[in-house]
Amino acid sequence: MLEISGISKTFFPQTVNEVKALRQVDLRIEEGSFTAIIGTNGSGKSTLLNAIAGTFIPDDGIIRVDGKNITEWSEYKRAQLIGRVFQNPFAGTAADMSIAENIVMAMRRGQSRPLTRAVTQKAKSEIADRVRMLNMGLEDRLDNAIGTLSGGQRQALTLLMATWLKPKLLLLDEHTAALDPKSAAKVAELTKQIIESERLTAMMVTHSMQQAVDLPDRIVMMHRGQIVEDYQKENKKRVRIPDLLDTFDRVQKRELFDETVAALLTEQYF
Amino acid sequence: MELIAIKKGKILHVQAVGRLDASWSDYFTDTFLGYIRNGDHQLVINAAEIHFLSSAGIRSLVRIHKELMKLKGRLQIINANEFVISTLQMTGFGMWLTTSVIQADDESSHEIDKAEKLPENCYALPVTKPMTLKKNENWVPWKKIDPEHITHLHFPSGTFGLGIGSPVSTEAFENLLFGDYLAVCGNVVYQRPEEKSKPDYLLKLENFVPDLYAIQSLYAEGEMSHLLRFTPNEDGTPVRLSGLVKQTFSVISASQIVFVILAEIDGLVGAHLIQSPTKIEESELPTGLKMRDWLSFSGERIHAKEQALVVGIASNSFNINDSTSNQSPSSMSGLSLHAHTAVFPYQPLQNGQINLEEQVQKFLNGPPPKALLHLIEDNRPGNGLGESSFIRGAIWFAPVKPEEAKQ
Ligand SMILES: Nc1ncnc2c1ncn2[C@@H]1O[C@H](COP(=O)(O)OP(=O)(O)OP(=O)(O)O)[C@@H](O)[C@H]1O
Ligand SMILES: [Mg+2]
Repeated sequence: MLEISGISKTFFPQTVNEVKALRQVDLRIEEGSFTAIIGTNGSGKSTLLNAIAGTFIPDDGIIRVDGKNITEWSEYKRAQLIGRVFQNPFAGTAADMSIAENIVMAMRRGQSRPLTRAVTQKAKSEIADRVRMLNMGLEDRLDNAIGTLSGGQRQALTLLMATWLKPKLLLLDEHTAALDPKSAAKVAELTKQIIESERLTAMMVTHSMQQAVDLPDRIVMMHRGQIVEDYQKENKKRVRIPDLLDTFDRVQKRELFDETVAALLTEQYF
Repeated sequence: MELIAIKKGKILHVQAVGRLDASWSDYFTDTFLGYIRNGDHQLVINAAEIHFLSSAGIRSLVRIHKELMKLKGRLQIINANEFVISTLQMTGFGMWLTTSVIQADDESSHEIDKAEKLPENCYALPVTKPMTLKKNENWVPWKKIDPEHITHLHFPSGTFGLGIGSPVSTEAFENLLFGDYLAVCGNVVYQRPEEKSKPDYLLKLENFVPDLYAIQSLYAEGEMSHLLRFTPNEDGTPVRLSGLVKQTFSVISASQIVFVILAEIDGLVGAHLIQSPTKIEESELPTGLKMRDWLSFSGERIHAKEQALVVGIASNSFNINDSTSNQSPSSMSGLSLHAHTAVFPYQPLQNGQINLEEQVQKFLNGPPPKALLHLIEDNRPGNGLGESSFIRGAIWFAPVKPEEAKQ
């Protein structure tokens, strides 16, 4: 489905602030799979999603969707294929518009027809049906401004909107991180439910080891702009939180293993 | 409950003030286990001000007593009041009560020739079979391995060794998993070359003699000639490995020794194989940073408060890894040293003269080892981790002549 080969991205190249955010990343995502991306702060998780969504064009490498090379496509053009949910529950929706109006906007994503705010009765009952799925009682509040909802409710709606048109690929960047634990658990559960029922292909950045173990069917670990671990299939089923922590530990140890350690061991390991 | 400890000769007197009941028994037990860990195995409790003793308190005393029994130590209770005396007698623990403290037996009641003038805490052991050493140094680090250079080693009692080996040889050569090992008194601890693996071990049983296929080995056979007991330095600092080994060279005149250490760890610095050297390709020899794929480095001082079982070879006058060169050791300590350590959960050691084989059996028959490391002296300027160090323990050692010819 998604095929990333050798993509690299360096911010502020050739300056003191140079950051190699992605280094020659290869990744294949199968149709209908759900992948968690974990890794330390600054390891390049968001940059990877941004590269896929087209926020920037990578310095190097190719991105294909269903065999089509989309590397040079604009972010706008890719939006027809890709749904996104970010960490901030206040991004992605317009606070002063009603729930129904926000959803209608989302339904028209990627279409060039002029926007009208009008929501037909037919559309409204379809919207109510889908919103009922969230089990948050929001179907009775479709005319309320989104700004009046809690963070968890907004994030659940954002998720619903991002998946409304069955995107080829759903990108979630720590979309539960800003919520209180109870709402986070609820949104995480909804995420799994929607991805499964709509048979979506999804990638989810998370800092929650629990989510990484519970929700997806694959876990990719990033470190310093590279994929350092990839748990799939049986390996994913077997993996537990302590294993992930061990792996983090090992990755960090490897990091400490610099030239000076290599020289030391060359001399003393025999 | 307040505990005040004063050392009088070999005995630690602890004055206990307050109630020894459920709310204090954990504190009481932990404090006493701490004394034991510090090497105090002769304990006298001055119970004059223990006003109350409950069954939780008795359980605590029993726990301490059991620990001391294992270490041939002794628990005595003096000045107990009527209530405490009757409680202890009723519950069958009257034997702890005493009116006059029994002095410690001389722990060093061994038949050695004191004329040898050994330092305190050092014991000469009877030797009928002097230590000999064989080396298989066919492996040149990080070169492709020649399958012809594997040595099949057997480890009956009275053998010691360390190196890189595999417990099996039946697989195709490339699939053999060679990892770091150590052998002591006929027992082998081996670590599979994987990052996360816990060590495996082969124990000497009645008719079973552990064996190993080694690509690199230091193999010693014979008896240890000396035992040295050590505790933290006078200023309370831990004992560094090189310092300990240097002490042994001051006891015996030798240019090379074989040693075994059992000690509480202050911190270990080391590395172990995470990929079998059988996988080394001529076309891609592990050098520089590529070493990461072959070795895991501890990266910090690790395994504090656990127990080390170290087997090593050291020389104070030549490089033990290169018998062809006459160069003196280049390390900061002036020693050339090759040592492997197995790490076990902590168990206290009895004071005084102890038997190597018995102690080793005790550890190998207890909870399994947690790790195995090739010790490294991290002398990198600035951020070096230094060398491995220990709190207290025992080192057995013997002189060994440099081998004349290889194999
Ligand atoms: N637009 C940008 N301009 C400059 N540097 C950037 C930009 N985006 C990311 N970076 C840098 O690239 C590196 C990777 O950042 P990224 O946001 O992908 O990390 P992350 O894995 O998502 O971390 P976190 O868990 O903290 O969100 C970081 O050092 C970051 O500072
Ligand atoms: Mg991020």
